[in-house]
Amino acid sequence: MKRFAYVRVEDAGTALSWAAKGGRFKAGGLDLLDRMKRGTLAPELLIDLAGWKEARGIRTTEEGWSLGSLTTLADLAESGHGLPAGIREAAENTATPQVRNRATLGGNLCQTPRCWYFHDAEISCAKKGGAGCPAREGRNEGHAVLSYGECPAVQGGNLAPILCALGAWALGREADGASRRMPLADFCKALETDWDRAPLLLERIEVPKTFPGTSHVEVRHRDSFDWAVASAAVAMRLEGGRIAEVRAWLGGVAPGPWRAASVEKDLAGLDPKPGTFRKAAEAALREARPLSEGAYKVAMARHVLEKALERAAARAAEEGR
Amino acid sequence: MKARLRFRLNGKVVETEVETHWRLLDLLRDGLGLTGTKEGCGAGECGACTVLCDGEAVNACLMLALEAEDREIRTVEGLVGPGGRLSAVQRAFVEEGGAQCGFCSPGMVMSAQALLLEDPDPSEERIREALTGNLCRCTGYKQIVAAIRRAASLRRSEAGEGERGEAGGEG
Repeated sequence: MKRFAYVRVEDAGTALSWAAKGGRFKAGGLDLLDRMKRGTLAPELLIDLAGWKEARGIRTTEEGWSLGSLTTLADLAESGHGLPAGIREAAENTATPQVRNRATLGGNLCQTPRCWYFHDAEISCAKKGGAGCPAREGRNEGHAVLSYGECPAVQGGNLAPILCALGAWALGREADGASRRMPLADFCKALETDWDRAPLLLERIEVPKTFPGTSHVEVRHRDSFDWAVASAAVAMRLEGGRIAEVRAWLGGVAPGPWRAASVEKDLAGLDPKPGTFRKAAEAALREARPLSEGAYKVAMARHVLEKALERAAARAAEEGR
Repeated sequence: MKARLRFRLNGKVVETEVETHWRLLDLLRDGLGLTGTKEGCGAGECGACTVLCDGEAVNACLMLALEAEDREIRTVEGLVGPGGRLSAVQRAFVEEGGAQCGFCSPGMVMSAQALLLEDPDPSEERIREALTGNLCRCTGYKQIVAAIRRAASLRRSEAGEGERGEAGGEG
């Protein structure tokens, strides 16, 4: 790692004033230190946010939950705040116990994409200011199969799909210190353009209490310390035993969390039975365009989406009893 | 670039100067000579560098030394009690043969310690889950899991006898 200056801050204002001088924010630092060790990033100043208390912890509100951006994944996985099951599943499936004890919600949302070319300091690509994409003609089994443009790298964060499915909001500060609230889905979309320039310094994530049935299902090559080949997060509400509202988002298959919009339309008003979910999952992946090694990801995505729909429906029905 | 650091290490206050880019692992091994904590992958995959930070298992390779400020860090050396008496977890690893080449053992022991601080009587499923961040390429994990079950039993019986089960080593 190259040498750098280090400051520890306790509030957003101080953090932003250091950032204006070229500093780089550090939350849990797992992705950041990994990049610094690989030599793909060399900040001259690190701004450690660990002392920023307002961005810590889980609060229960009338509308739902407020999750501090510095809350660790271990705290999300083991929370006693009655968090939606899908959030807990997404957190507990991430990496290893050691990593979950350090990794933060904000860091998970902002981590850089999983692409071996992007993370190799010796290889040039468009995402690092070079030209072209070596994955297109090279190894691309881990890359996007949906909605990708020039860069097919996928963001590996586990929490974004379920939080987007739940209609979460991102709260934070703009560079001038102004508070701003935006849909988390928009925050994630903005990150796809430039992973190193988040639209906000994230402070908290607000999660509305709208959906009684939630789930997160994923497939990985390895059972620990791995990113999902494909993940699916579902939020569902039933009325009179039928699907009143459903949101389904996929992870690991597009540059950011991907909304399976067809599922919302296809399942509305239907009886939540297994065959229905399979058809909806197949339809959702119809527009997939895998690169040379990515066809298996389409099958994996269909599978996890079907399972996540089944699980969310069962939980929604259970809550309704 | 250097900065001052103050933290508790194995029960004692340490005040020192560190390079800002040092990882906690660099400070422990190279700065303080505590070589029980191993460096395997240096990327958080293998768990050989596992230490306790405020009682929780963390990878010392993924944490800057400066992040230990005002924290309580415990390494495998800090589990040993007065007179060199091994902790229950360490003894159980010896008795069950929970090591072969031994390189992963300090990390395994620290993950086990973190688990038992949280859950004194873990199920086998919880033990295996607690070890998902620790790789062993020799043993196949069977003896390691057995060692942690034995350690849990030892700790409970020592606590039942009113003894201080982990003299100087409660993480």
